[in-house]
Amino acid sequence: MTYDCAVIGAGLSGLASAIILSKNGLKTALIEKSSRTAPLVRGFKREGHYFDTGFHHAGGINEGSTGRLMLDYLGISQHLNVVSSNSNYTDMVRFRDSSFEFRFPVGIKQLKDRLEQFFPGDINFINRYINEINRQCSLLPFLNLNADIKTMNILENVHGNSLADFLSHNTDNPYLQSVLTIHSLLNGVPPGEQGLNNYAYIVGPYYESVSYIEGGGSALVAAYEKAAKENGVDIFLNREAQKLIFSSSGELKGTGFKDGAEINAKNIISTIHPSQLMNIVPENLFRPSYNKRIKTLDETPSAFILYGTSEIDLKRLIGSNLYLVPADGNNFGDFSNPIENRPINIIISNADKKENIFQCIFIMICPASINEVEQWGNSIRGKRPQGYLEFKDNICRRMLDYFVSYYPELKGKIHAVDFSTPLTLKDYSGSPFGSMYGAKHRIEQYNPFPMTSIKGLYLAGQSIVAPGLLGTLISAFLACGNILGHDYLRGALKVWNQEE
Amino acid sequence: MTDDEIIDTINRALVKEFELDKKKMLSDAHLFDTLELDSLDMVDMVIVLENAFKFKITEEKEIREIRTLGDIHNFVIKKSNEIRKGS
Repeated sequence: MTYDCAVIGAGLSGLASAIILSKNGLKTALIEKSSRTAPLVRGFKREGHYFDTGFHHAGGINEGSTGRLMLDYLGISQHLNVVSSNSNYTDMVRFRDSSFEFRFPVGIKQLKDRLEQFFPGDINFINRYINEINRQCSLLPFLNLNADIKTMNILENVHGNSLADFLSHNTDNPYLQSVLTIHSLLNGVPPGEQGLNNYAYIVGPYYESVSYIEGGGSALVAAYEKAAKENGVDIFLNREAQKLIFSSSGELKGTGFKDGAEINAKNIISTIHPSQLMNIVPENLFRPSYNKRIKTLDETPSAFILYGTSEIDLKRLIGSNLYLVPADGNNFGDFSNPIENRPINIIISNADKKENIFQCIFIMICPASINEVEQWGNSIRGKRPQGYLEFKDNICRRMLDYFVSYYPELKGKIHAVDFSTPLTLKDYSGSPFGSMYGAKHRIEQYNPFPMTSIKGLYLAGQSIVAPGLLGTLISAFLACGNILGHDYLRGALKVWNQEE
Repeated sequence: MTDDEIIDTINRALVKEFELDKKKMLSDAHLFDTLELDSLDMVDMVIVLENAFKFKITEEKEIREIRTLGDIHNFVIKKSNEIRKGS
């Protein structure tokens, strides 16, 4: 089978990449090792309730944003009902050591006003912080369609200040520090390692707007699949790319599978974890320095995830999204800390009535390391030993207690329906480390670029640009820009914007 | 470290990490034409230099202007001198 392009991995980045290429007239194959596309984002049903996995809500896809423009261009928006948060606030941060809580309003201007109202002693710094977030966002090509790709300061960003340092030099207020670092949980980089630029890419669009998708991740994947079919992408499921194939003169020729079948394509976009890519590229093709760099990328944390129901209306009590901050702050890099000392994110979704009992759904995410469950690493899902099940039960119970310790009124009213550990994530995410967001985008780490030194081989995915729906979109546009031309693709988006 | 020692350290590190031909490691060797590196290798070159000399490289503009092995030698010698003077 011969194609113009092949995309390896049908997660959100892979689907988006394949649609862009197909839409622009290139015959494209999308290759996925699982039996379905985007297995991590599809969610699951338990006890009659739908629980989201992998996707919960997104910044920067509201009407008029670049993210929405990209979804429109790909033909995805028309299959989705994107609901932008129109309530006065989206995220709530609650602190352990006091009754202090902070509610994030929708809109960056509104956030600035709210911060100034809560922290009147830090007005100058708040101003500087907001300006810096806006400035960094304006420099990222595809987030800003007019930014110059050639002027990105890679070295300056890698060796830049950490978010934690920037804050501690400018304010002594621990609450303000926590409020302005809490979204580090959204890209899995602790504040002490988080670069200001990468944090801005996450919070800039997120402060501006938070959107939900009716039907959750399952509806999102269905919309991507429809758009892929409408644009003529050929999807190959249950197909694991085993190797990249090169011609005798060293040119990229395609990819081969276990059964000997091959797909010929001179351009390949790999969206699998970069460390996994190294297993399918012949050893001597990358230089030793690049091999070493990619194989030793520092990973974002994995997680313990509790899927629960509540008899109390958490939407009314809390809102849509809650962050619990332990007494000593937001840092979550040290996994020798008990879970009670780690910050936790709780996502609350719509309530429904089951057997006439009011029930609200919540998903509780606690950062964790694969090392915490490594003693059971060789066991098989569904057949794990008793010790592992007891460990799981223990963490699950403690997470419920953790939630209750911040909201005593929930005692006896919240229940776990399912629970996953880093081993579960490892099985579903394709990351050998069970990491939530792939390789860390942190200071002092050089993540791989979308282009590689192998002609025709490009990279996309959350390890390359940023995690989140918007991160996967930008990463897909950057990878495809190398094949189609960045100026052409950015121009096409601008024209699309004007025509719509 | 003398200038010669710096040059020797650079050359040895680059030969090892980029599998370059020792015989081609002359100061006028062009990185792209002679040593067959490409612009994407520059990030790894920065990492190799940072590890070899235990300093951080933030001089984006100067790095982008590097064309020959001699340019790398001069960059590191200049930077090492500045660090020495500063400490």
